Amino acid sequence: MANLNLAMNFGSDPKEKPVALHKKIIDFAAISAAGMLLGGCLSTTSSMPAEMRPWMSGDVQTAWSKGYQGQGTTTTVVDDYNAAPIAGALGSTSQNRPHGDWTSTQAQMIAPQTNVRKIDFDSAANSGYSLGSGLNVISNSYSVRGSTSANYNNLPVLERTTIDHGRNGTAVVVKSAGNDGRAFDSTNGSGLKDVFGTEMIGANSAIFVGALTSNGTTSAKASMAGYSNYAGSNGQVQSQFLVVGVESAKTGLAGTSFAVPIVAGYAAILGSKFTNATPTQIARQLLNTARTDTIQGYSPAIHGQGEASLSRALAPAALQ
Amino acid sequence: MARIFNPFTFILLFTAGSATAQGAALGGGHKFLGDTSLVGLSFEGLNSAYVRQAAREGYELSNGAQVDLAQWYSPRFPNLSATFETWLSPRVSLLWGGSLGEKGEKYAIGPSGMIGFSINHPLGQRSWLHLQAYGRFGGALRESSCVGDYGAIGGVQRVNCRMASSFLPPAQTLDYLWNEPPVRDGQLKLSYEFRF
Repeated sequence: MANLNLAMNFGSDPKEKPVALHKKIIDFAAISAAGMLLGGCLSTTSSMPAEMRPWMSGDVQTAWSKGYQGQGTTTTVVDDYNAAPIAGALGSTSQNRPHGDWTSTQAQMIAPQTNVRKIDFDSAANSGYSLGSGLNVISNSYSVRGSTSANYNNLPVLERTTIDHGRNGTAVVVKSAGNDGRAFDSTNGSGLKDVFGTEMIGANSAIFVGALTSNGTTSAKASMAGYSNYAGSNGQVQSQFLVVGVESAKTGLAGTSFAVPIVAGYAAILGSKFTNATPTQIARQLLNTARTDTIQGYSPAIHGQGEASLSRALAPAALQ
Repeated sequence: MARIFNPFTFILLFTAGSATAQGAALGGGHKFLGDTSLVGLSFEGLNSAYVRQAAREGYELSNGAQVDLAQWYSPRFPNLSATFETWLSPRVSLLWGGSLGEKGEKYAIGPSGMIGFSINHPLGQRSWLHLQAYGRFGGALRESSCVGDYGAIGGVQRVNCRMASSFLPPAQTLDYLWNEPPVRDGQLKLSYEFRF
């Protein structure tokens, strides 16, 4: 029998509860939740004022200055909105909020005009969900751990729906790498693998996201966060793997959980520029334009394609 | 692009000092043809400032290669501008001049002209009132687009060269191409001078 649990991908505190069947684990190191769930599973927020924060890459400010903030796109944040509150500060004041609240807020802060939908991964575990309007991005800051024999068929309907969107290229699916400090597709210390994540290896429009300790620049290169899972030797995983800075010292929040909404926001912003692009094209653009010169000791086996670069993803390949 | 249309700016300027205020706005001149002096010479004409700013900017392509906008926004020959002052009487002079315009790979600025007058009226042995007025015209600015290759995600599209890497869809950046009509503005300046 396959053995599954869900894990939120917080970073520096990658504690996992004893594995229970169909138990999900958020991948963070601090969390929060205030999602008003409609029909037990969903709520939406359409926009928020753009406010540059120190934890954001400078690319984001440039994006906003041009007026493009993810409008016309839908970002679905599947997460735990009922978890114990976690202390953090994405804005100017420290708050205690559930994990899902932090990740959904973070995605909206990166792409203020995207339509954010919140789905609670427990309440909606046995139901699928429909996509929203425009480009769809699905942000998943959690893992579903299981035995090495567990597969797609052992997962709840909710995760199977997300995987289907990634495989079919109907949405950009952004998934946390996990916080075990191991290769993404390997088993953790308890002999469990991330079934949810590994089932998306090779999926058309799925991206796996690891965490750097800071936003890298060519003069101040970033290092991989010690807690973050890395790409590993699987070439397919490497081709789907990105890293971004999770500036925990500025937010109090650590974990690959908080890398995911950044990339999800980037995807939404890309979708507001390239309005006819498919989710697969958006995902490939982010992967193909990632930077390697901002990372200390860049290696595909650790950092995959490199650090996501919004400015390069938006730029043409050639101009004359 | 925001351009300030300044039909007639009225400036009341009081100066106190030993230096003459005459020519302060246009600089001292060199008499070269009878009563005519060259009082201003530069390589900046109307609308040149916009282009000079653009030429200092740049951005990266998706592969990291640097795009230097100076390649498209530098003039083949600088916009030579000259202002002359012809004295019609000891107190009245005619101001006139213009610029030749300039052209770069992605823009063109048309020629421009200016004409005006200056009157100096003594109020006493050591004080004067100066009145200067002039109008400017011409200097239309036009910009042409680039062709950007956005690969699989966006294809090949016409795009504003300055905004090709912005968050705007390429087609929308064309709305921001410079298309400035000829300038028609002027300035009226009144100044008081007291020498001590």
